[in-house]
Amino acid sequence: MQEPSQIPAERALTRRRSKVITPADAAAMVADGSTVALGGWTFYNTPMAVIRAIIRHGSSGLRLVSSPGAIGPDLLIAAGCLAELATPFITMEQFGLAPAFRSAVKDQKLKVSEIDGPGLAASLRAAADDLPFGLIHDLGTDLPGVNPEMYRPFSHEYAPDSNLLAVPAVIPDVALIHAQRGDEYGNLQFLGATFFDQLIARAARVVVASVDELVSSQELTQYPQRTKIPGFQVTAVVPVSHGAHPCGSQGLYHPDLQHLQTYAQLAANAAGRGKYLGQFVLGCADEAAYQAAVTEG
Amino acid sequence: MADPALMAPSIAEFTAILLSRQLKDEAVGILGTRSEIAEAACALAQATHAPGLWYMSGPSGVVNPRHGELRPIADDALIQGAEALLELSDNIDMIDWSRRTFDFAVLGGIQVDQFGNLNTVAVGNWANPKLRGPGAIGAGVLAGHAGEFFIVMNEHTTRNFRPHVDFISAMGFGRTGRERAALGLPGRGPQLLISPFGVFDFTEDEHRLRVRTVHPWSSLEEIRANTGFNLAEAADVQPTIQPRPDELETLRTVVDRTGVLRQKSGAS
Repeated sequence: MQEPSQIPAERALTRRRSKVITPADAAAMVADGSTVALGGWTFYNTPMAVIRAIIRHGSSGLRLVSSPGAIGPDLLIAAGCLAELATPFITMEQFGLAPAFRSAVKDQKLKVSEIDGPGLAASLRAAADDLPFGLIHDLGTDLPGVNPEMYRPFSHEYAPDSNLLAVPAVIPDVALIHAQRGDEYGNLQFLGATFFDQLIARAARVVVASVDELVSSQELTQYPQRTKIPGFQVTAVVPVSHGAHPCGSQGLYHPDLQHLQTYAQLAANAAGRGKYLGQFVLGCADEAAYQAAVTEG
Repeated sequence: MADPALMAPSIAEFTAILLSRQLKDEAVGILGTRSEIAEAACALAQATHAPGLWYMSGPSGVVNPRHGELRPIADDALIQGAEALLELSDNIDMIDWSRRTFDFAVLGGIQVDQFGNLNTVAVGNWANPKLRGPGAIGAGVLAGHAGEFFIVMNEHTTRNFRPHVDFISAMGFGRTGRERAALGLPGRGPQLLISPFGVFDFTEDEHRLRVRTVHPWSSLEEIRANTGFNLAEAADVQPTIQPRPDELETLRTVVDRTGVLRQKSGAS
């Protein structure tokens, strides 16, 4: 054991490593063809700034394993980033069905891995637990028929009278989630619901979290009970004020329903999707430009 | 301004009041996204005959919001004043596996069939659908495991009341009416269906959809003409018992103070 006097000066002064990166840095962490998990829930806590950066980056062939989403997954479909989507549902809520999803299914441009809540939960939990598969009850749905890879018949001598299905683990290469607050070490605080984000963070190899507010460690540690995901599970933190817009960020701001409605209407056809992407994503160099474009309407 | 309790109920209010009467004191229910009618029914039951009823938001983990305004069930406005805010990553044990947590669920779909099976995935062929729905949601496990479930259909036409749904995303009694028992599912399955025309249950032997009561503005003829299969009919089909003024007043002054259901048409 070294005596304190023997510790080299540069080691004693080592600074705790910051995990802060930009949305563009985050996009570069998502390799083409990788499996990406998306957190939040429909109009809430979707990491939209990172999604916009991924679209600008031109990522392609992604396999998205998503919490129930709205504009988040739909915009990735509209931009042609996805090869496959696995999600229990996708909706624009009161503004109707998800338009790019609907169109891509109609044109057979997207592989749909049809799953329900138990399928998603079991596949992520098995990944988080480092088990090869999870077990769920057979509920008599038609899902095994259209998705035999994810819903596999399972029998075991320990449970001869049970009707079970095995769901293979899905280990996301990258998880994209959004929290209201975080510090530079990756501790994430939620001021509302957490949805699937904790499970997603436990399951993924790499976790990228956008936060609306980057706060000091001193401020964050005043409310440790709000830290729902500890920094040791988080690879990178992307501070972006209003980073979930047009979705809401629970406890900080509501969904921008007008903008979401505009998207739902525009994205109904290819020309409108191109217009939206040009005006709000590809035509904006960064998030500051996006916010300005939103303000201009 | 006219006394709001004197205005006739909208179809959504009418449905919420009928559903609330089915909910029992001390029962535990779970609600999913886009379920304002079910949310209203639970809150109304709490404010009337079932003060000990529990209901939880599936997505957000809010328990018993008592908000006074109907909001999307995942919305953070429901958190303040709620009795609990749980984490979905933990709640999946109750929602996706447990066979004893929930006494009831309220489900719907883009199609329903004669055996109470529901479809939220696709109309037509799954691989090349005529209409792509939002997805399977998590309704199948609630249909399978909740003690019972109620079906609310916002439309009633031959297009969505089908002999067989095109995709079973939540099983009622199965393709032939016997699959529930064959799979050993613990819940009793669909017990009641409310449409804009009437209230229905399922026959004891074959588990076929059966007309119980007819809403005051509808008729048996209209129900038959708008259903894509032969319905069973109760021996004594009665008119639906209409909302009482006190139920409507409580709904409007305690549960839905901003009139979300009042402004909602039946065919949303």
